[in-house]
Amino acid sequence: MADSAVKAADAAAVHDQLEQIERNMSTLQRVLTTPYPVAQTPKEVIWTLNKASLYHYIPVTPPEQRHPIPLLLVFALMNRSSILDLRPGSSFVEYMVKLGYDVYLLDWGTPGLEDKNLTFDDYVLDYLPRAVRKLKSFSGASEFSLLGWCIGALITTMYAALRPDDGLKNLILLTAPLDFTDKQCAGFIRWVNDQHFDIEKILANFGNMPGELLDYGAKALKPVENYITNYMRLWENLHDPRVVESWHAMNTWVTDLVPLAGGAYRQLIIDFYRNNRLINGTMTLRGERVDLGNIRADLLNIIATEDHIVPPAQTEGVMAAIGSEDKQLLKIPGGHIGMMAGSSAIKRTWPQIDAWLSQRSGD
Amino acid sequence: MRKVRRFVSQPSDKGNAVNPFDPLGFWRTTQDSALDSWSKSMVELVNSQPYAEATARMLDSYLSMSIPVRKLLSQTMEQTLSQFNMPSRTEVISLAERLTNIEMRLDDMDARMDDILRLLRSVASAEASVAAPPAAQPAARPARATAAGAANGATTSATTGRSRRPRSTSASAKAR
Repeated sequence: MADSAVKAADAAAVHDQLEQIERNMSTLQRVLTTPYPVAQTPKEVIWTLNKASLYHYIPVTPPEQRHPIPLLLVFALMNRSSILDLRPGSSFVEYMVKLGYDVYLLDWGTPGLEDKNLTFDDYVLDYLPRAVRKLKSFSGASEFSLLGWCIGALITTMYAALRPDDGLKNLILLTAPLDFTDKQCAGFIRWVNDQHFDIEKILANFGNMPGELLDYGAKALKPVENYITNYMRLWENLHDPRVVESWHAMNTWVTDLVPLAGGAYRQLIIDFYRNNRLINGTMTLRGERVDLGNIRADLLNIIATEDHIVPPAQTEGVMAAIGSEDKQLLKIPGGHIGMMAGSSAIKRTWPQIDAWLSQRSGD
Repeated sequence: MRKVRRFVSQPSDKGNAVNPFDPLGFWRTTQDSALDSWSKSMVELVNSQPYAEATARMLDSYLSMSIPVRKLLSQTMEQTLSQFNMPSRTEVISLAERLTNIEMRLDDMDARMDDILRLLRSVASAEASVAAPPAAQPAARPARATAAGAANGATTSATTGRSRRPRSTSASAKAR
């Protein structure tokens, strides 16, 4: 009697486990083959130019509780800006909108072959100023804050230096690759400085730098984590919807590859990585010298201490060269992306950005 | 039974012994202890000069082989398209570049139009304040965007935002 009861319980457990296996396999298939609906915060397009779009996020706080100075977010040219609005509850955009910021996002779009000659000159002196012009006209504000991340931080830094009278009040830089003095500090700078790395041959072949190659470059810097541990983590947590959803959203973002305009890639490698022109003071865009001493906006420069893509050495040294009187360097534990989009960002990074920005947003 | 239970991912998996049915179980247990050091050694490897050189050489040889093939394909395709009276990729690209230039001019005109409208509005408002007695002056300042859009579940739309009027007249920055 007891034996049959045990057998029945075992059979039921086997059945449960088989169902769990089926659920897990279904989950695995779903997250690996379908995109997560990222960027869900309600927004409207207020401006477009070529592939670029300027989004305005619909405010959710009463007008009297809003910060008067709008905030413009600028992400890198490679990868999608949706990392700033990854998923509900884990979205920087949503967080800032709820805190009463008037948030705008400049999305660069996907360059085609017709954009292969686009350079930083175009992004810094054409696209960004036009987006700012629209933002000011749309919001009615004469001042604004800028947040740039990665290459977006490089663009916003040069813009701040070249257009200090455009009304830029606050400048927030996240993992900004600005100082390439140390040629040994990371894998990427070693790779592109190798004499066999022929940038002209790459661009002659592809026109733009393909997203796949950029993705390989980023992932190969930590091959075990990106190609093995990442998938092991998913496998081990298939039972946990929170981990699965987070992994799914991040995987959707990581695998949505964007090429980098050929002209901008050439400049990035030759002018910045190899010749360190920004720090040497020899960087010019359309004949205008980029002098970091011209930056007057209040500056918050955020570094991720475990960043292997833009190591702290590429950001720290720039503080002395920047002309702002109010400037602060903030070191936050985390990696290049994890610092802003990881599970701890909402407790660590975002509140610090808000604390700094709210004091300077005209309240 | 315990073996079967651990076949699938679930909270009780963690910290348990090896599951012979788990295809990744053996891999995990043998690699877990060494994973950190493995990762570190791989990071060291990819950060080394020999790796940088090897990668650059591999890419270079791939490009050296693929460039002539691509050129040949491109030429063949261009000739074929030309024979069928179809535009080639180069021509389409050239057209797209011209469209972008036109778009930039339109953007400038749009900005100027905004400036003109703002000026007209301020002139009209000044005239109205001169003509009307002070008590009759309306509160002309428009409201900013409200949360109504969010409440209505507004999502991405291709509006230009012109229906909303700016609050100040200082937004006349030139793009260049």
